This record gives sequence, C-alpha cells and structure tokens, in this order.
Amino acid sequence: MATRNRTKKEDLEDGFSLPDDYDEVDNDELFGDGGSDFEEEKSAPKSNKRLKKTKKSRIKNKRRKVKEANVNQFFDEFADEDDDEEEDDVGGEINEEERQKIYERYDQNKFGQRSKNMYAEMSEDDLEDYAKNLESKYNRDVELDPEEDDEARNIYPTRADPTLWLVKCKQGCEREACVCLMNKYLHLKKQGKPLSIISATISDKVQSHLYIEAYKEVHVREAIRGLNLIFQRDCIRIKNEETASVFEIDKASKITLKKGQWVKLNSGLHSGDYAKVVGVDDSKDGCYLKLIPRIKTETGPDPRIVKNRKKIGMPERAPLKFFNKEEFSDVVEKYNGMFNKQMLYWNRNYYRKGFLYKYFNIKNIETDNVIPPRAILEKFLRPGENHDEVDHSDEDPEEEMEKWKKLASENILLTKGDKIKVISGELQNLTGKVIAIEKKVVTMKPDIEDIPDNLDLDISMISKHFEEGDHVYVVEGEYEGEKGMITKVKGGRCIIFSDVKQREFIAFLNNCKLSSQVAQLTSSNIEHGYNVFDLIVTTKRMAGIVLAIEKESLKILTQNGNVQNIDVNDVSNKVIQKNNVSTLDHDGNFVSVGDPVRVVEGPNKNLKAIIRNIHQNSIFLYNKEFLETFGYFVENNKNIAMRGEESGKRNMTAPNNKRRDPLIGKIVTICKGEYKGFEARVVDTIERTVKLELFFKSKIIQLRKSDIIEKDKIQEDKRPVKMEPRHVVPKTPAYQPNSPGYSYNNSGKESPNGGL
Amino acid sequence: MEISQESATLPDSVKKLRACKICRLVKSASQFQGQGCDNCKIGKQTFEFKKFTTPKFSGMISLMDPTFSFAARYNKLNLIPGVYAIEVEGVQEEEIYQE
Repeated sequence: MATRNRTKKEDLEDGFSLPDDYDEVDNDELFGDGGSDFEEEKSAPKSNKRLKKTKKSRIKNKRRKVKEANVNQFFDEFADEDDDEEEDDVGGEINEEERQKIYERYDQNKFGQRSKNMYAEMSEDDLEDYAKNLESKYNRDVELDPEEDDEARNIYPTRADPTLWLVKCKQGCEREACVCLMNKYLHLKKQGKPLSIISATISDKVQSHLYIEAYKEVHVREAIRGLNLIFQRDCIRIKNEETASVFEIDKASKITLKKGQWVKLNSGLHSGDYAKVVGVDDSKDGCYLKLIPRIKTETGPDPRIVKNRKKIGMPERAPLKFFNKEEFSDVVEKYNGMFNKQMLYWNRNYYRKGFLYKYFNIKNIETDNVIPPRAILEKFLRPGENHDEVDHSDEDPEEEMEKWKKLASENILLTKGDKIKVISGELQNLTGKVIAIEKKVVTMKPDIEDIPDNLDLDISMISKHFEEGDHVYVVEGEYEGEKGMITKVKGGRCIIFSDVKQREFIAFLNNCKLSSQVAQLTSSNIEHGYNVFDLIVTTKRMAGIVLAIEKESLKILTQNGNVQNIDVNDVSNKVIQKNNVSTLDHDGNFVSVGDPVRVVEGPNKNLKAIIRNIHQNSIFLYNKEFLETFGYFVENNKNIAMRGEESGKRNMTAPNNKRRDPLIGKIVTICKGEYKGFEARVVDTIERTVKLELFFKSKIIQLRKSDIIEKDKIQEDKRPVKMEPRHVVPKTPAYQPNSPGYSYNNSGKESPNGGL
Repeated sequence: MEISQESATLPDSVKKLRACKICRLVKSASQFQGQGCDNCKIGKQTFEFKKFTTPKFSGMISLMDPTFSFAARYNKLNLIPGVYAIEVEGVQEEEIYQE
C-alpha cells in the first residue's frame, strides 16, 4: 500500500467499487435521527462503521442532503492525517516501486503508447502526410474502440482521483496564471520541494477562474500563495459530477470564417455595412474583408449636422462610395503580400477596384446568416463606371448571383401562420399555411381540403404567398419598414400601395409579412422612437398627434385639424402630457385630459368626445366616428363644454386636484356593502373612492363615495324635512319678526338663548 | 527514477500561443518555430509550425502530474508535463488517437 497522503476511505477502495447509491446511504446514516433504519445500517458496506465513529461531532440535520463531497470537510480523518509536514511532498513520498508500476501500466496502455511513441516513430514524411490529411480523415468513418471511448468519456472522478478546486484570478489573466502555476511547480520541483497540485485548467467558458486539481485544499492554498494574479480568498470545491463539464467546449460558439462568405460589421465607421471575406489568416482573431469605402470628401455632408436624434453628438458619416484614384493626391501603388496583388495605398488603407480591403477583428463582425440585400450585392458585382479598372471585380458575377439567390431562398423569414406557396416539384402552386418550422423543413397545412395531412417541405421549395388586398409590412429590401396593401401579385413580386406615403412600389414577396393592423404597428426597427398617438411638436411650433409612422416620415393630425405627412427631422420634440394639464372650456369650467366633453360649436356640434391631449388652446379629442384619423379630431377649447354632471360625482375643482378633499378627516357612516351601518373616518380620497378607517376594527377599507354618507347629512334626514333651506324664510316685506329669541339660523334643537 | 519526468517547454509568453494539432501542446509561436514539438518528434527543420500548429484552440490545462490527473485522463493527455489545450481547432481528438 502506498503511504501516500490518502484518506482512510480511499484505503478501502483498492479493488473495491462502491455502489452508486453510496452517497444516499451514507448521508442518511450520518445525519438521520439515531435509532431509525436499522436495516440500512446493516446493509450498508462495512466502511460505514468507520464513518459512524465520527458521528458525534456531526451536526444533526436530517433534511440536509449533503453530498459525500461536502461531508469530507467535516471528517476528522483529514485533520488527523494532516499533521505531518512532509506529507505535502507527494513526489518524495511515493514509493519508487509504486511509481514504476504506474508508469509501466501507462506504457502498456494502448492509449499512452499510441500517443507517445507513435509520432516519434513515424518518419518525417509520413507525419507530414498525416498532418496534411487530417481534415479529410475527419470525414472518414472511423471505428471507435468502444472500450476506450467509454473509459475516457462520461465518467466522473472516482474517490481515488484528486478533486477540482475553483479559484478566482484576475480577469483576462487566466492563461498567464495557468502558465505561472506551471512555472512555479517546475521551479519548486527542481529545488526538491514540488507542489502537490496535479494540474491547473482554464476554460474559455468560465472567465477569471482557474480549476486546480489537488487532493487537499491546503495543497491548493500552498500553490497559489504568493501569486498576485490569483486571489487568495476563495477556494471552492467542485463536485465530482460537475468536473466533466469543466472540460467541455461549447461547439456552437465556434465562429467559422470562410473565404467568400458574407458578413456584417457591427461597430465603427462601417457599422451596419455588408462585407465579403477575402482572406482568412491563420490567427483566429479576424479576417480580411472587402467592403465599399466611406471616405470623407470635401463636398460631403457637414459632419456637424446631427441627423438622427438618438445619436446626438455623432457626426453623420460619409456615404458609401467607391474609391476613385483621381480624387486624391497621395495615392501610391503598393504590393500587398496578403493578397499577392498590386493595390492602391492611401491613408493607411488598401484599395483595389474601388473596394477597401481591410483586416477586421472578429469581435466587430457578425457572421451568422448574413445575407446582403440585392442592392448591395449588385453594387459589389458591378462596381460602377467611375473607377478606372475596366474589368469587373474578381468574382464571376453570374456565379455570385446564383449563390446569393440560393442563400436568400434558404433564409426566408417564416413564422407560424404565414401563407406560403410551393414553387417547385409536383405540388407546385399549392398554397397553404405554415404550421411549424424546423431548420430547413417547413410543415404546412394545404388550403385544399382534399389533402388531409400536413405536408413537410424543404424551405427551398416554397416561397411566401400573399393575395391581392392583403395588408403587408415590408421587412427587408429597398422599402424596408413600409406598410401597404398589395394591389397585384406577379411571379415572386408584388405591387404594394403604401398607406402613409401614398405611392406604389414593387417588392419581393419573400420580403413581406402580413401586418395584422392597418398602419398602427409600432415597429421596433424604426429608430426615431415616436409612437402612434404621441403628441409631438414640430419645428414650426405646430402640435400634432401621430397617426402613422414610417422610417423617415410621420403622418400627423395637426392642431388645425389637418392630416399631414411630415419628415421625422421636422419634429422638434415629443410632449409628455401631464395629468393635471387643464384648460377652460366654453362655460369657463376647467377640463383636463380624460374628461368627457360635448362639442357645442362648430361643424362637430353635439358630438360627445373624450379629451385625449391638450396643447395650448387646441384640444385633441376622441370620438370613434372619425375613422380616417382613428377617432382623433381637434377642437378649440372654446367650442367644447364639460359633460361633468352626466357622469356622476366629479371633483369640480379640476385645477386643484391635489388639494385636500374636504371629506378627509370627516366621520362618515357607511351605507352600502358589508360594513353597512358602521362609522368610519375618511383618511384619504382618490378620485371617486375614499379610504376609510373603521372605528370598530383597526382596518382601512376603500369604498366609493356613493357608499358613504357624511354624518351631518344623516342628522338632517332624520329631522322633519323641509324643502327650502332654512335661511330662506318666506317673509312678508317690511315685516320684522319681533318675537324674542327668534333667530333664523339656529337649528331647532337649541334652546333660544343657549349656545352663546 | 525520473522516467519522462522532464517536462515539455512551457510557453514563454501569453500572446501568440499556438497548439500542436497532433498532441495539443501549447507553446508560443516562436518556440514552435525554434524547437518544434516536444511530443511529436518530428524533425525540427521540417516541423513547419504553421502546418502543424494552430492558434485556434480553447481551454488550457497545465499538466503537472499526468499520472494521477483526472483532467489528463479525461482529455486523453497521457503525455509529459506541460501546458496543453483542451480542444484544438477543427480536428477531433478521437481521430488523432485512432490512427
């Protein structure tokens, strides 16, 4: 037996494999109530008895399902064994014989033999050939030796194996820390005091952490001591089941870059531009891209003018324009080794045939499913007349077009419920609805009832289908963002009549999407941030409500009652209406947002409406009869009158909504509901409800104002009721009542001279 | 007895690291250029480091004691102590070890 620093438990395990449910049995044993489960005690492996020894020092916690791993922390055994200083020294302690045996075992292992000796013994040529063909061999049907495979994968560390400890290190310095530990290990080993840790791992998935393999936490602590890249504080033990996942690489996160692939840049001057990969360097950080340049010219737009409201401060960037040698004076012809071509060099960039060739870091590139719109593709293939090269770009335009079409057809944006049509094969011209989409296969329900089942089709065999009269929204292409009605469908395209811009345009069917509401969708693509029914003010000091939005323009209902299209740039700001904005109406009453009113003058006389927005003297009202403007119409504030009495109790002091309701503090009697008959004090009023503090119970309830009656009023009701208020006493003129003590205003209950 | 206890050369920098495609040893580019790969005894002159090594690798293991390491076993790294990559671009590990 090796006298290595092993726990007693491990001693048991030579040639002894523990049952899988060992954990459960163990824990119940240790943490359960004494006296239960006698059977379990008997059936558990012999070793249990040893562990039971230390039960007294254990916290009795029946419910905690502590896994074996954590339990180890409490074992006295560890502490006992740890006395010897020398035990840190794994290498020196191991019996030489034992070590020799282990090495032999590994040598004999098919595994080790293959990896170590095979490459040394192959001749150089063979090895070269082998290395060259690695990629093709990848595709071959290799027979895996099942034994070996099982041995290596899907296993957890056994008790004999060291455990993994998670240690925190400085962000970004994981690799350095890893190599540092290795250096320390070797250095100390030379001195004869090797570290006891077994390995150190870093995973790309987990940043700023290291996994150190060791038998004991102290080994880890010793190893990281003195290294300022690793934080000394935390040292977390990883459970056995979770160790395997540390070494797993996320295959999905690999970004592949192929020559000829389309990508999109997402930062910098060229943010949002499409580019083509022309060269992939060995290093994984990036690639060379070919793109249309954006060069600031003398006659270009003034960068100080802010185009987009959201990006205030950012100057407008130069437009896409091909590089023209003539325009610049210091253009030099230089040989570029990367592409093996002569290129034009200007301002630290390489240009050729009008395109910019530049190296970009992979962080700035989007590679997934990037398909350039047709317009961009055409620009790439036929660069235009102004450049000096006669021949076209390096690729064959026809071939490129075909490739692009194929790519586009495979990447149609389909969602459940879209109408589609089969365009090739036996079922050509069959229309149907999309039920499900899975990768490249679409399940559709045919429109024809003769075909009962749903059909599964490849995505390349279908295209979107719309009928004349459908309202659609263009998601891609030249007219992206526009909505309209389809007036004609022909081939793969359709003619759409736009709602807002009142014009016709042609779009591909595959770029459209059914819009469920007419021009009321607020698109997330649109950048300006104005929504339908917002109150905005234009640069010409005119207010209006947004009725429809598009990328560059808005349809608004102005304060004059006109419907107009305005450019987004003309909008000065959006008005956020506050609740207490109010204005005077025809009768001099205050009205505010949300109040129901009636129009008393003008062409809309006698219409009932609700106030939606107030801006100076124009009031934007809502009445559902105004279909063209979605119910909105405008009136001057003098033309409307409050409809307050009709709707019941209203707070008449509109401008002073926030002032204390005189009810607050009063004692009232509840006349409706479960608390009927009880008295309460009014604590707060919220519009038409009141919060009451019940007297008989310490409870606060909320009721409508109509459910309570003020105490004074009740008093009045009980008394004989006289219709006229008391102070108006019909009296004969010139008659002075002279009876003593007769006073007008007293309530009858008081004695004549009392109450003074 | 120190059988194969010498370790492979460690990377001398943190930048421009490359991993051998065959044995996944990690060293810096200049080290591969100068010394070749410690595990795969290909002649140093013919060891074209661009062909046999790649900078595209993920994860790194500092293997100090391969005989007892679970990490080494799991990742099939029964080689001399050194710094290795967990996974190297493109080539699956099974393929290498099957040949």
